[in-house]
Amino acid sequence: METNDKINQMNDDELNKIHSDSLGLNVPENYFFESKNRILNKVVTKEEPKTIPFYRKKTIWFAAATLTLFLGLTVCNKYAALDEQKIADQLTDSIAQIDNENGATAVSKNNFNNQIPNISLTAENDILVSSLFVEEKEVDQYITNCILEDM
Amino acid sequence: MANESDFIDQLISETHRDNAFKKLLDLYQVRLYWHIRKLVITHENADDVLQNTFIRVYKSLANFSQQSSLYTWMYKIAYNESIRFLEQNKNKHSISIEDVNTKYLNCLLEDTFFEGDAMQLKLQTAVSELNYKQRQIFNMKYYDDLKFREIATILEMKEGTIKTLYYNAVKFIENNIEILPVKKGESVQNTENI
Repeated sequence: METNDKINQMNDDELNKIHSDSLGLNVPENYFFESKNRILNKVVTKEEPKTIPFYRKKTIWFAAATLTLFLGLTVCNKYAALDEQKIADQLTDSIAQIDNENGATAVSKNNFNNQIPNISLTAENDILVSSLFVEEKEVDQYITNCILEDM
Repeated sequence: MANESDFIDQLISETHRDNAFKKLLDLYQVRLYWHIRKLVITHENADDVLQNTFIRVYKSLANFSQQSSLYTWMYKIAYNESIRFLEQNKNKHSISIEDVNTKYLNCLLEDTFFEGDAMQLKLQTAVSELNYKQRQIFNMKYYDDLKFREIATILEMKEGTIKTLYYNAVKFIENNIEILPVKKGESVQNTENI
């Protein structure tokens, strides 16, 4: 390669000379050196310290998923309870209105309220939420036991 | 080059690629510059095209099939980049490549780095009167010292056609100037025996 370089350098000089002498074409001083550096700056990749992108950290993903799940369930439960209570109130109000209009007292507002189950279902929802954290094996075991008991 | 295949392997390898590319620049930068300069005429244009050529070479090395020599492959890229530049120039100024060709002398005279004397201008005038293809072939053979086979590969033409066009170009220039500058101890008449 070393010999090649020398020959190549000679050829470069010859090339510059022939283009200058025969065609009158010239290049600015140090052009090829500067051009080489410009090209290298554009193409050759510089070594950069390796960084792990944020989205690749599993722990962050896990924490974000847990937080989202927790917030989601809390908010859903709250609004679900509010909606159910609202429906119950509307029902009792409507019935009371009908009672007043008809003058009937067959079903009092208090009695009706007693008949309506407590649909805030806080306890049941707690069960549903907690069931999310039950191991699948335990669920299977529970189902098996139920089946065996039924038999 | 003693072992071009090894050099190409270095150019493709991730660990040696950058150093090998520096070597590639040392080997072919000047040659490719002059090839491009004769196609796009002015130094500023040649500088742009040379840069684009090496960027394309760097990006395309992994796809080099080695069916031709590395130099011929690079030369072809340089040729295509020059044509692309002229096409873009045509679109910008609404002129054809042939029009660009006829503006050859005007561009040359406007170029800060053209310092030709009367004889050189006479030769340039004769060369500029060749049709575009003939001018490329004449430049590749006479100044870049490429073999007819290599020119045929670059221009994707038959070798016989290249020879005919070259000889016609030489005759045309001979008829338009008194003496064609002697190259490497050969007379113009001898070029027909190449």
